[in-house]
Amino acid sequence: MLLSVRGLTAGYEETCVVRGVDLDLRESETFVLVGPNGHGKTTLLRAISGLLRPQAGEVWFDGRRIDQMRTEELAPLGLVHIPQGDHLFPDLTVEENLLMGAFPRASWRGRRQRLDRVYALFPRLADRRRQRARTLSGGERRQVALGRGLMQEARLLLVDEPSLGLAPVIVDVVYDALKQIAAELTGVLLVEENFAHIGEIADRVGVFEMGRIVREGSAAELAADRMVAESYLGGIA
Amino acid sequence: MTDLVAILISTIVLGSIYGLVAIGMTLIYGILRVLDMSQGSMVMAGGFVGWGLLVSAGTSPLLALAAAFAIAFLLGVATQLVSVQPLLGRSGIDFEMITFITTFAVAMVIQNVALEIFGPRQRDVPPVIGGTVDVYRGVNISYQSILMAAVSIGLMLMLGIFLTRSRYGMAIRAVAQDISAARLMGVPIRWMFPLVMGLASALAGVAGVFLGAQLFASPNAGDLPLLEALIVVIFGGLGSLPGTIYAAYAIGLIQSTVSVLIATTWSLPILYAVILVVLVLRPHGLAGRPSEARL
Repeated sequence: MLLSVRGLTAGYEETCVVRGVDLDLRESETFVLVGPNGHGKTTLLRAISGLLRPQAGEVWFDGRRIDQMRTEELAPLGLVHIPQGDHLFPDLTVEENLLMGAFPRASWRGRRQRLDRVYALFPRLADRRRQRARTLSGGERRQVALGRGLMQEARLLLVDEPSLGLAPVIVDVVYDALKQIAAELTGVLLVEENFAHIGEIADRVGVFEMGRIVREGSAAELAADRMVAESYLGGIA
Repeated sequence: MTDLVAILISTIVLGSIYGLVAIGMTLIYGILRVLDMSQGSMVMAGGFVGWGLLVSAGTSPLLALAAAFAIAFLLGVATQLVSVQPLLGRSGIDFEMITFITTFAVAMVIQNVALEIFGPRQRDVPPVIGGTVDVYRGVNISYQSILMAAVSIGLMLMLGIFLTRSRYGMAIRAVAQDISAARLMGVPIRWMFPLVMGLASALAGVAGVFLGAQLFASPNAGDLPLLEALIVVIFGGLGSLPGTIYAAYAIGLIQSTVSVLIATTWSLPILYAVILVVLVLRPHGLAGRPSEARL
């Protein structure tokens, strides 16, 4: 198992948002969690990557228990979290932002080749490489955020709502890239609000409601489930 | 023409040393949001290192500068670990205000340790290097001033290159701009903070050797440089490195111009009048943007 989550409970102050989640992700699997906003998907990812200290439960990554480790110790192990809202470094250039993605020593050595790969995946970024991140459009920012996540030797990529707030054209660019990434990477755990774009890349889909995974299966199986379909397909099959 | 040359030279010398004293403060504020009140004692410590090595031990100037750098670096790291690190990430406290006082408290301790060891007497620090040169029809400049300006400019350039080109330098800027994103990239933030405060203090320590030679070494020799550094960083725009450098040279220019064309006694009143007007019109300082701008 690449990632095992057992009974993970997490939240802010008194309230718990993630309530005893169990989740397994096998090698070279892309697992997508779908569910409405405000039900704890982002909190789950933050608890896995240590940005939020879990209140209970265990997280195992690649045979190592990580729930008591610091966030900054996880990237060097190959667990990379691309956060919601991009979190770019606003006054660094596009290229500097990408280079920061290669900060762990092992990735730093191969940064030039990785940079070329990211520019091949997102040609737009090559044109913008000397521009400060704060001057970019929303779509460009998202591409930098994804590209930055690809600058390290990731074994597992956590991606939080990559389509959020983007124009449909850009969503296609982002998902075309994600499809390639998912094919190359060992594992991807992706979170989205609905099924609209994930059909082609998800090996397995979980429906996340009220802090729990309430249903699990392939995209096709869940699409056949009437209740799920009505809530999350939004007219796109 | 001689006036112009005199103003130019004086601006470069004054601006460079102001810049060197203040730039560490900006670096620390940019990354940690701490107004480090211990920077003055780093200047003071540098002065005593200069005095001790140049006078008593007779070491070479270069070695004295390097020693001041190293000792102030260690002092800065220690100050950070004692007065800032324990407060990081605590919720419900006014971090900026508390560290303002805790770093000031450390400065007082350092000052009083210096008082115990060296006594209250002012010690003359010899020029790091002696002699003067006539630059242009009677406009003199001491080798000490040339070296001071050159070392200051050199160190500031090296800091700039470090921050923009190196892996750790870039990480420092990243931490200043988005700390949780920097952690997600694998930046070991717990080490970065002491490193930055050590580095900033080291620059102030080097400045202290020169300032000691300009004035003297004494336990409260850091008080005035601290005040001046505060003024430079706020005038330039808190947390902005380019702003700090503009401000340092702008202040040098105003002081030099007034001293040469009017009288030295007028340089401070006019300087502060200008600062007052600029800050009232541009409260974020010369280059400062509202608080999201960092390094």
